[in-house]
Amino acid sequence: MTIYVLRKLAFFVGAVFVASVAIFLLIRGAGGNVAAVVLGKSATPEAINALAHVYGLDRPLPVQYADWISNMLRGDFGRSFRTNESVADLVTARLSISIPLSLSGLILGLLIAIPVGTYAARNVGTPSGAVLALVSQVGVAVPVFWAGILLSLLFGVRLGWLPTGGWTPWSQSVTEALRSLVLPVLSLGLIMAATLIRYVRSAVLDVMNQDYLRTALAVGMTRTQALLHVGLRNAALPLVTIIGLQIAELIGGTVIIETVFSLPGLSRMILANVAAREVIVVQSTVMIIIVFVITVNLLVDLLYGVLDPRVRATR
Amino acid sequence: MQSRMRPIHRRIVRLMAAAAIVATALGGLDSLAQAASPRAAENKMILVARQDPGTLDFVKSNLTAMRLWIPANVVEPLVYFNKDGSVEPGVAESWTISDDKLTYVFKIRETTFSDGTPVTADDVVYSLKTMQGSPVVDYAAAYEAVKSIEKVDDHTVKVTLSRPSQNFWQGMGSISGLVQPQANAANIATKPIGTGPYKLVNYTTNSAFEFTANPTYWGAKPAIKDVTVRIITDGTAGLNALEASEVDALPVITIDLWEQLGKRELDKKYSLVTYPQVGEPTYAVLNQKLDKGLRETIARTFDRQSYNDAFGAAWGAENTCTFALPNQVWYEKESPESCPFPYDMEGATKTIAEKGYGSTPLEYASLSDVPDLSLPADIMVPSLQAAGLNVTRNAIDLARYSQLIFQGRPPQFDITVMSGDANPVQWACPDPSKAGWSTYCSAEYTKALADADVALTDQDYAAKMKQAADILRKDAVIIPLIAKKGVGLFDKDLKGFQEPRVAVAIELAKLHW
Amino acid sequence: MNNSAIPAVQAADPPTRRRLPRNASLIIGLVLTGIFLLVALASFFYLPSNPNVPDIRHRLLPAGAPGHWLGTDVLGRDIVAQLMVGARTSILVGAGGATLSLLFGTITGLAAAAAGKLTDETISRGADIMLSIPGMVTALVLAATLGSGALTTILALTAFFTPSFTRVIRSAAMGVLQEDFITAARLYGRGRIFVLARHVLPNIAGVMIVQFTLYFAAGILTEAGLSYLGVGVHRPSISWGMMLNEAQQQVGVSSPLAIWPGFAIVLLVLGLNLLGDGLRDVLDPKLSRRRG
Repeated sequence: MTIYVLRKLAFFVGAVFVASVAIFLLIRGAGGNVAAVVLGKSATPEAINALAHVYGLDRPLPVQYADWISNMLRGDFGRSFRTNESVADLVTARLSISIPLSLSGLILGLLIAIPVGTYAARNVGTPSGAVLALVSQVGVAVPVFWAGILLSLLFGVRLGWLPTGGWTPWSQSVTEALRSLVLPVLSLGLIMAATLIRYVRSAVLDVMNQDYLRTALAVGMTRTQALLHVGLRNAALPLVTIIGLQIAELIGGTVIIETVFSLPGLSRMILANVAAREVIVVQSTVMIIIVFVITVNLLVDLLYGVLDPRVRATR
Repeated sequence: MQSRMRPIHRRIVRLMAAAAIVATALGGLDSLAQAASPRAAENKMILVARQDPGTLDFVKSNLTAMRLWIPANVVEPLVYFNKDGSVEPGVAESWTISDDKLTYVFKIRETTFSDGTPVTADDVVYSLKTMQGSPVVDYAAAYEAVKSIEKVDDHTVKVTLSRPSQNFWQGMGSISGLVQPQANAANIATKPIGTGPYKLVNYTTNSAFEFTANPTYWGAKPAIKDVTVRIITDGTAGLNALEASEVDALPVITIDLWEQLGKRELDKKYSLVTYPQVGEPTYAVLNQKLDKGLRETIARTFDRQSYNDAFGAAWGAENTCTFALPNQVWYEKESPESCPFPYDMEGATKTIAEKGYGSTPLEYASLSDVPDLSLPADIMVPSLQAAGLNVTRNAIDLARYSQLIFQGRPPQFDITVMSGDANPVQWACPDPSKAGWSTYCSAEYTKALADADVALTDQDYAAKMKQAADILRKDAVIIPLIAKKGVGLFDKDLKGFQEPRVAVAIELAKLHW
Repeated sequence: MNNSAIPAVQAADPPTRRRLPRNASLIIGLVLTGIFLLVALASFFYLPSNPNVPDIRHRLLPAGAPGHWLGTDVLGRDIVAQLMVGARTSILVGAGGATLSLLFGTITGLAAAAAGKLTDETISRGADIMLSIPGMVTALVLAATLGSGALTTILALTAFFTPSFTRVIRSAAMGVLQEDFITAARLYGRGRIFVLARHVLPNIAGVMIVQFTLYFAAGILTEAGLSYLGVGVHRPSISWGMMLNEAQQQVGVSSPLAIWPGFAIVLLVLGLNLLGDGLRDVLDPKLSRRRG
């Protein structure tokens, strides 16, 4: 077990290192620089170079990388060149949108997918099962931003019930903030659900063919009782894994949905800062996300190892 | 489509009855309320900004998104220039200008910055010197003729010029003349401080500015105490918010929304103001290295009317061949007299075939992340190609565009379209060896601008600027296309809007319920 | 999320299909995909009008207007023509990304399966690392680095998809390498490369084709997402995602503009996914057997 955990940790460190080098080189390779963006169209090259020097962007790349990484390791994520705000503050502020958005999206997705997926598994071969299969197949093909656009067309533009976009900070009005989140969460949740239904259904189908279910049936439980009590618990393990996998993809969906609804979340912040070549903000924010995702995956792996001894043995 | 959507709409309404209850609970039916803004009673207002400036550092940044809110409201210039040409005191209580227009003495007002510290001559000297060293060329340009900036006593500052300069005097009523405390230099990007009628309480990037009346303001207290400027980048969302009474005004509505505004009849339900000063000219820039005949031919393929019509809002923009806004004295509407190279596809096609211009590969650089500037490319590139020119479109983002074009020496483009301030001084070319995209190197033009700068009377200044504008338009380097007006939409009860005096800044203190 | 392009490979469910007409997925998928392929091909020979040339006088025409079945956009450009050219871009980018990923994935996957423990560890852990990085976020940065355009979008997709191909092909190849006939071939004196090319590749071709089809679809979704965000293709190229980006700016003026490109994306992606599922049944009987 110790060796298993150590190997996983070594992988963690390796992944973080590779990712940090990659993201550093990528954003540097993009051309342009933040000093030019700040100074606008009438700046002279001398002024831009002078400002780039102030920002320390004229130092050799390895020096800049080492500087950034050592600061990161000490918990200093750097500051925006333009506003001098610390990345930690910027990210924290954005999380008050991105976390409720992505978490509610995931929960909504699960709330739809678990009952629907179970129902679909129970009704394999019936017309309603076939319809559900088709619906989820279509749902998987719908781009999340198109779902967002359609929902905002209906509820925002046509009916005028909910904002088509924009954000009211929690501090100003909690109801307004909630209202701005309804459509984004709905879009994200519905599209998540389409993917998750397929996972849930095959997980439940697998469970249905297992011995313990037959045992439960033999002791007198109804099929539905058996599925709910025994089956779901056993299907939970693969589900945990799927949720772990979906985290990275959930973040991907959030990137686009924040743009559709003009929500100033984490991903919009990354987009804007990539455009402005705020290299430190981009590097640090992307690294925070990557470390988060890798950590979730690591925890899922470790949890899996704890729950299922076979995993330890085979790895 | 409209008529076919109707029955579906009705069915959905029925289906959504339950959802309606939820929406009501969340306050969704506010939008039905037509009563006065709930903010009126609370002495507040909420405005909408379309863009987030990212930084409020008015020394280093010249982004419109910052200049709309910070100058005049938070940080004041030494003086204010009114629309009628009169000058009002700002941070300077009074001033004297020597007859030779070489010495300016400013008497600084006995007042405090919004943090309570007194305004001193030292702060003014610091502010002016900071602006003199600004990396933004437009701001520093005001100080070209400045020889010295000195403190005379605690409340007097003397500026000496080496030659008379209109640019300097105009600059003192603009961003170049903003006065800030030296002590706040470190916080300027997020929390600038000044003597203005408002102080900035909070600025959250991508979210909102919050202002409150400055208790130590030297002038009349503003009518509305608390002002929130909410940043809603999605234009339709901004209009919806106004219609739902979530906000009280959109003082700056960008051109992409004008058609929608008309279609939704918002111009009838709200007060629509158009003001030229915050507008922008959109112009094509042709690289000066291209043959003059080729430049003229390119200019003749630009269809101003089509471009203007593409916005579906004829009231908001004027076709023009002059680099200016409609409120500037040297502005001229598009007419056979004012247009040296009118739209003429047939003629252009013929010339291209005759002179073999089609063999010159041309690159049209278009900004991919600014819809306003990729639209002209959508229109211009096909017509350049139709006329027989060998044009490729290079769509790049702002950062790369800055690198290739703004910073490029020589700049790497043949044709591009931009919009922005209408100050011809920005094309001045003091040193042809450092020619960049924004330098129009012509001895004649440089001289006309220099003459305008040293002009001792306003008439003389206007005449010289007209002359400069004329030289510019005849050489087909900067080709003006349309002049957009500033457009704002206000709640009918929110009154008092005035045209900006300090650059493009919206003066919040003038508004009242 | 589907847009970040990890197809739900594991989530196939043969039991349902067993009761449906045997290859319904395959047939519907083939028909849908075929239609779009034909449209894309047709676009090289015939377009109702040039999808990039503005016609301001006929801007924002409704669907059904004479000469413009689905109307025109904000500059009077025909929607049908744009959708047709958009099909070209979607198919080019999706297929390009999937092909390159298949190529690199096959090389790395086979190397990992056959070239010894150290190579395997390096490649597998490398793929794990790449897979644990949120794709959409890196794609955004990558798109800024490479600039916009169809080719760079293909490269971004390749960077993004290859590790999944590596993993799938490695495990499929390992399965084959354990079979007796491989041992026999090796004993017979066949070289490693020969064995891989002659015995392993044909046996994993089914897996490769299914994987290719599903990632073709994922590539189309990702391209649409990137172009929607403004970091994918730009005019004069046309993509459905880009059309949705342009349409969203006009939502308050003309909402149908935001409908058509979305339908096109859904139908083509649905077609490819169905095709992939159907192909899996036909080409990978082992998988069907195990699942059934």
